[in-house]
Amino acid sequence: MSSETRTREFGFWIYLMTDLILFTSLFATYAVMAREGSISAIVDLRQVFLETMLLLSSSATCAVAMVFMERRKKETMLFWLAATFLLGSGFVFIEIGEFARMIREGYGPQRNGLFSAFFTLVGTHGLHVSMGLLWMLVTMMQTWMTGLSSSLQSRMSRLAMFWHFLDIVWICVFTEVYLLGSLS
Amino acid sequence: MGKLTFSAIPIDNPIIMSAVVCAILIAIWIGHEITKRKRWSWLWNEWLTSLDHKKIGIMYVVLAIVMLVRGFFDAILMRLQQAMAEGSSHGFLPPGHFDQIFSAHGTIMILFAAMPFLVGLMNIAIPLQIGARDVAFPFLNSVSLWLTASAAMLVMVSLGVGDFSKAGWSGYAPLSELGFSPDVGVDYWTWALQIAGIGSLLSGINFLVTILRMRAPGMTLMRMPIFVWATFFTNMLMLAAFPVLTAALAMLSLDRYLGMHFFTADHGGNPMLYVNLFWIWGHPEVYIVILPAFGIFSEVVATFSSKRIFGYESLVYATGAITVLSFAVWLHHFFTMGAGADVNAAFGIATMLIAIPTGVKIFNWLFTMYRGRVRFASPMYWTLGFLTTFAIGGMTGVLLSLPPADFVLHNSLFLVAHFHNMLIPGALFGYFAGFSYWFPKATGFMLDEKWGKRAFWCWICGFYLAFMPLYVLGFLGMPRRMEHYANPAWQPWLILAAFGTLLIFFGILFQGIQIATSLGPKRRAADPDPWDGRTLEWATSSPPPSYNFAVLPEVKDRDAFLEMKRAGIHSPTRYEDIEIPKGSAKGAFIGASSFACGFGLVWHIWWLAAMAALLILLIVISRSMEEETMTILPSGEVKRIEEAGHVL
Amino acid sequence: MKAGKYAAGFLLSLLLTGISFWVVTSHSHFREFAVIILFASALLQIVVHLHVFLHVDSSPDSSWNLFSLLFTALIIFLMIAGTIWIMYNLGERLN
Ligand code: HEM
Ligand SMILES: [Cu+2]
Repeated sequence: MSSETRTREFGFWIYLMTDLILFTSLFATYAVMAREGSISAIVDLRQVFLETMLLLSSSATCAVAMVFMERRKKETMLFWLAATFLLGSGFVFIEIGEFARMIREGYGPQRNGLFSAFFTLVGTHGLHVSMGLLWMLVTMMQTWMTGLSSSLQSRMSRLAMFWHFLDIVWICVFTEVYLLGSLS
Repeated sequence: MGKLTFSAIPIDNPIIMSAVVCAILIAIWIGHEITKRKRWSWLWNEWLTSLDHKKIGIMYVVLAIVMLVRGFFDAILMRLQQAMAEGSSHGFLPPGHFDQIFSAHGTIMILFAAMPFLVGLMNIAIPLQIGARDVAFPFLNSVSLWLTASAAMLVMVSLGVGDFSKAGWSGYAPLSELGFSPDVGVDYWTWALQIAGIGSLLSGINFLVTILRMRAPGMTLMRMPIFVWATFFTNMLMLAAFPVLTAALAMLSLDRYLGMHFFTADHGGNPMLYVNLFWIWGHPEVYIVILPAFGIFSEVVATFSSKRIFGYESLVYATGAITVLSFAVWLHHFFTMGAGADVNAAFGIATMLIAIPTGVKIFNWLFTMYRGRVRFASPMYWTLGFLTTFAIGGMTGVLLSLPPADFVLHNSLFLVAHFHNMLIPGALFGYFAGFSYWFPKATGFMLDEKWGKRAFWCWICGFYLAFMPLYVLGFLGMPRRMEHYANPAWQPWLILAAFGTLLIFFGILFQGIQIATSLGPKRRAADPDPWDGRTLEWATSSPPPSYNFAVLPEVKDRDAFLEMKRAGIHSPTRYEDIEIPKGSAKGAFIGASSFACGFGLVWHIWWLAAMAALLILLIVISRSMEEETMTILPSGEVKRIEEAGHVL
Repeated sequence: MKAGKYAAGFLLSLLLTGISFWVVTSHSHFREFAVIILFASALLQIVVHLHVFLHVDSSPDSSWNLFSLLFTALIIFLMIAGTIWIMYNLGERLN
């Protein structure tokens, strides 16, 4: 790995650390709000499980794509990235559906502080996933057109870092928000 | 146009309108001068689009000085108002206007004067001190600069278009919620802070990576100059603290824009949570502005005492201890909010603990001077002024860290005196020391000493006169943020404070004269090493060439340049090609678009905000597709520059 | 080699996720027990993810990555613990 790539990866790692602290503030806020109530009545754990599976699998396919990138197999890599993209889109799709259902049933973010915190925390993660999808799309198109240049490779590995990082945040989300919230 | 109409411009308010007209006239005059001298393309190509860390640093400092002057004029207005508005006299500022002024003053001084000043000095000095050719991410550096500048612009525009926040620099909820602050003031404040905050975050990443990955061969961690260490820890603080501010402000905006209930007083909102989050950022923030100044004092004391800094390691560890501890004390800003005695006691003790590493530093500086051959140049004046004055502020701080004392003094002018007593000597004097210390290096000209010393005396005397009375007023029970009061015993002290502010005004004026004479027709070119320096920035010419070092220095000692001078400096026998970043206008465009985005969000002009956000995205994508971002400076050119440089 | 590591990491995280969901949906445990299992498996899963997919280890190459992660973890701990302590204390005193 070139020194320049290492520097960029390290800088990106530091950015991820700051993002972690952004999420920390939202988690702390949620924990404070959860003192006042519970969302267990309106979450559907089966859906959350499905979301989790989609995201975990997308992490795996993303890792496979990186393996093929290192072997310089452009087409195979793009295939696995496309799979990652689809799984990630599935996740966002389900999340939007869940949000829409909750709002329809009168549990929107304006309901009270707890729901504001719920929508903001889960939504911020969802927004990150969506930005990751956009980034993936742009990078895939660039690779398709220009081939696997070294700068694209280095960008791709940062994208993979981002993607795995979002999984970690999701682990915290389903543990604190959904599972802990569903314990009686 | 969303909520924006012509009535947003306060044409019926003579004070605001004269300020606006003044600002516009100054802008026109500057524009005219540039046009007359045909300097537009020079300004654009050599400065605004430059990715050279030294030029970016200078632009940051210019921004900081402009905003410092703006913040200071706010202070003059407040001091005049409070000197007059006793009993039947109501002064010249109505309450709504006074509230905007203290909110703007606090916000501007901390985020748009202190922050750009310290990031500017970091930019100028850090790569040189570690023997690097640039920062790790030069383009990102330009983005940070322009984000900060566009946020400052947003604050300035709020002067003439609409209102600024009336909720103080801390914007406590629920006062800052829509129900109590329905106008756009709070939105100006949040978006300006958000944009500037992202700029600071990116700078933090950039400099942390620069320090960890770009050091010259041989510069181990324990050979880094103290200012580099201070910057390192400052960046850790910025990276860990700013995201919390971003999150807190985002939640406040969600309340205001989408009707959520994070911090509202009803619907299960929790206003105290806002206070909690704000100070998780806010306390580290005061160390963010002060640690770099501590670093500068350390450099200055060692250089002007011609001695190695005393207790280098203890200074490093003390700074590290402050870094971690500053995340464990935030509750001392709201002892009176109602937490139990156990909580208050724990945070009170943690606060007192911070005084220990700070005290260690004071002794480091004193012992460095002890038996040194101290040269009294103006950087040293600022340092000595700091040492004496800061000790007083530190002691009042320890007093405030005792919850029972804080219950009495909280929210009074005692507190205002205390934090100015920390921030003016601790932060501002440090930046002034750094400014006069590195001015010759950055510009290539010596800074006039005569006016510098006059400015110093005005500042220090003005400071005591303006702020010591506030301690007294605190004991007399005067609360902060008062636009009018009915207690004749307070007035003499406030008049005294106004006179102090007048003296400070002369200090700032003299600094202006100092800069003008130093750059004007009678200017004096600076040597590469005017102060008999000890660290690597003095090993280059003044100002340094774009690539800083023709040959990367080999570091063998803590005082790297001093050691080189002792060993004898040889000019290199052969030069190599050097890669330097090409200029790019994209940073400036990102800044301009963020300004448009912020303005659109403030006034609910959704199409403008959306288009500007899209534009930012497109610029970022197009930058990521650029291939040729570097250019090669051939060895022959390097040789020519180096040989011309040494003639200077 | 790398692929094997990824596969193991993936399976492990599936397993841990399964445990977490099972503990909650089976409704047959003491609350404290369930909470401990939840936190333990989340923590473990985070460590697996960091190590397998984000390549955090103790090699000298990634020592600064590890250092920044530990520093961040410390700060996160201070922020979360402090906030919960302060805000719950306030809440109790209000009731
Ligand atoms: C240069 C001379 C300065 C003067 C004469 C001055 C004066 C004042 C005055 C009169 C107030 C309002 C006090 C009140 O609430 O009654 C104030 C508030 C404040 N000042 Fe300064 N100041 C100066 C410099 C600074 C600097 C350098 C900083 C920060 C780096 C700063 C930060 C603040 C803050 C944060 C507030 C609180 C604003 C609020 O209440 O929301 N000031 N200052
Ligand atoms: Cu504090």
